[in-house]
Amino acid sequence: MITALNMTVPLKQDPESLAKLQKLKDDFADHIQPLIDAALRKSGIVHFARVLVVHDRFIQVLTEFDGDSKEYTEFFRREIPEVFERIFDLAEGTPGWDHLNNQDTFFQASQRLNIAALGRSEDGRADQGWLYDNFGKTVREIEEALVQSSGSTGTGGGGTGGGSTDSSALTAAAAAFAAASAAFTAAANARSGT
Amino acid sequence: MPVDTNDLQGMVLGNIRYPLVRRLIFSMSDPGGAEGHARALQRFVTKLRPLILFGTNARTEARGWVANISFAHGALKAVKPDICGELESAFLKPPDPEGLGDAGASAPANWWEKQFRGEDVSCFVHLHAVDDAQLEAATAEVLSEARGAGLAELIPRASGERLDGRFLGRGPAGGARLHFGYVDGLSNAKIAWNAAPNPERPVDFRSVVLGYYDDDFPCAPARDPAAEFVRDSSYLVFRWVYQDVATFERFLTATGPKLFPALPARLAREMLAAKIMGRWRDGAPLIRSPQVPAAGRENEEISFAGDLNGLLCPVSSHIRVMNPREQPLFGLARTTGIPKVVRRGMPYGPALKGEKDDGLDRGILGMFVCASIREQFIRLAGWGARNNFSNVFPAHGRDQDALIGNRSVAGATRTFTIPMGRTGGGTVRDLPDFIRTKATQYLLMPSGRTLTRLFPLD
Repeated sequence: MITALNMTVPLKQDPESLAKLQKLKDDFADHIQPLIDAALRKSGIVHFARVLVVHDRFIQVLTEFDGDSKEYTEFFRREIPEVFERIFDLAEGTPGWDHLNNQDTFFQASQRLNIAALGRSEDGRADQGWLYDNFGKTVREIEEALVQSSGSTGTGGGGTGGGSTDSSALTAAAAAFAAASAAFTAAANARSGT
Repeated sequence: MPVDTNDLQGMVLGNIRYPLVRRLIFSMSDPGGAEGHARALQRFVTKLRPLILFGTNARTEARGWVANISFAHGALKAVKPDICGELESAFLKPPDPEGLGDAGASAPANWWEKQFRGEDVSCFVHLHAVDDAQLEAATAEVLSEARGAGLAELIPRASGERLDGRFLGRGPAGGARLHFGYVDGLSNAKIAWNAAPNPERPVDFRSVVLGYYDDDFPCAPARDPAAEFVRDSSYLVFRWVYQDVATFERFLTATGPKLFPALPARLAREMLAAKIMGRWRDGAPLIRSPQVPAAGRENEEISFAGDLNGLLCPVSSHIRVMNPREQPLFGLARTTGIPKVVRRGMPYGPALKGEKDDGLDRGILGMFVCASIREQFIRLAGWGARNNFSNVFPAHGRDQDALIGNRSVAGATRTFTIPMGRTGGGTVRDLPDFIRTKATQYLLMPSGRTLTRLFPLD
């Protein structure tokens, strides 16, 4: 079960807040991205993540991950509170971080700011909308397949990430995994008659 | 700030030591709006208060029957809307079936035998009595007061029967038996009140009562004045669970000998029952006694550290999913930890004789005491529905608790893996549903002080 989080935070438009937003954008690559990256790697369940600023009107935190959002939000509140504090400090119509920084109010705020995608969830979840998922595999399954194919050591869903697998082996593993997935999809389609 | 345990209702302190329990459920009877509802509850609680057991869960012969009381969202919203709005968001909404794994026949549309909706509930009165005569007398008295106050009883069964719990009998070492034949209460750890958790009392009180927020024990409300208002109160999750004993026993008979062909048939089915629970039905943990039942060893400490592959105790066995102890956690669970709830359950319905379904309703009236419904109860229920919190499980994370998993959950497997050992093992691929959720209700069980603030004494 892969879940999409499309957290969309409206931004304050006063000059001071816009200046803070610019500072956040300037700081992101060197100071914020590493913190988020470390938390994502530790989670072991996140497929993709990115942070967007949309015309200085919204910040979007977009991720796709295994599981559901209840535990997910609490994990990131505990792991990278300083990042969310900076984001919510810029948010329009949201209480201050002192108020938000607890399990229940942070969960409520993240749910309120999460925008469901258009369409229908393929597993029937009302709050999700449609999410195309080519593999239907968890991050752990993909990592294990890569490790098996390459015979190398993966991050194991909680390692410090990056750099432990040489690029040629990873490329070969990725190709092997893609081939295996294609075969799996073909077999599944054959079974379902599609 | 110390917890005044004398101010806690008995159910929070422990299982109340009476053999019979009845859950009386009430709603507002007249269209009086929130003000009318609040007045009715004020009248009712004023009358009932002398009968509410505080400060002990012990049997007190001098008092006869005793009661505890808890309130649903609708009642608290009517009485104290400002405080109610600060309570945990999960409490303020109907239970989320997706988070609880309540799909298929366990879906909320089927709850309460379709006699009413959870949103209709105002309060529960939990009656505890020594015998049926006392229970009926207690019921008559409470119903009289409720009617006089303007509350109506909700009957949760199409048959018109109430929800009564009673012990089924004792196991070999004296522990109460449940319908599936297991001895009850062995994994229910004691609470360390006003002290650091220790081996004797490993549960931190902050996971049981409200008003002591920190990141290790998150709860709502998190801050004063609402936190002060409800301090030492608890959330209570009522879970009415049907247990399909006939399916369970037939499964043991049909599958046990196939998995453990080296064992006599009777022991093979007991071995399978033990693998499903993680304990023999006499209570002895598989980790301590992997080959045969061992009455008298049920209270021994257990650890899964030396059994990470589940050779002795399968990783999806019930007690191991509900409390994996030192088993390494994966992903988010490494940060959020093992959720703990305190159980106060009692079986209901007659014991099944043999393996043929007699069509009677039986199961457990589960009560789970916690400080955070979402972080404790829902998260644990989610672990039962999806074994994805540790690397010991398959990477797809879609296996379930072998006993309580709901196989209708989207994507769930029906697989139960028992690693091959000396006497057998194998993979079950058609694991049946053994339970069905018949209702879930979120309640607040107030401390004495909170009760007085909600309903001032005359």
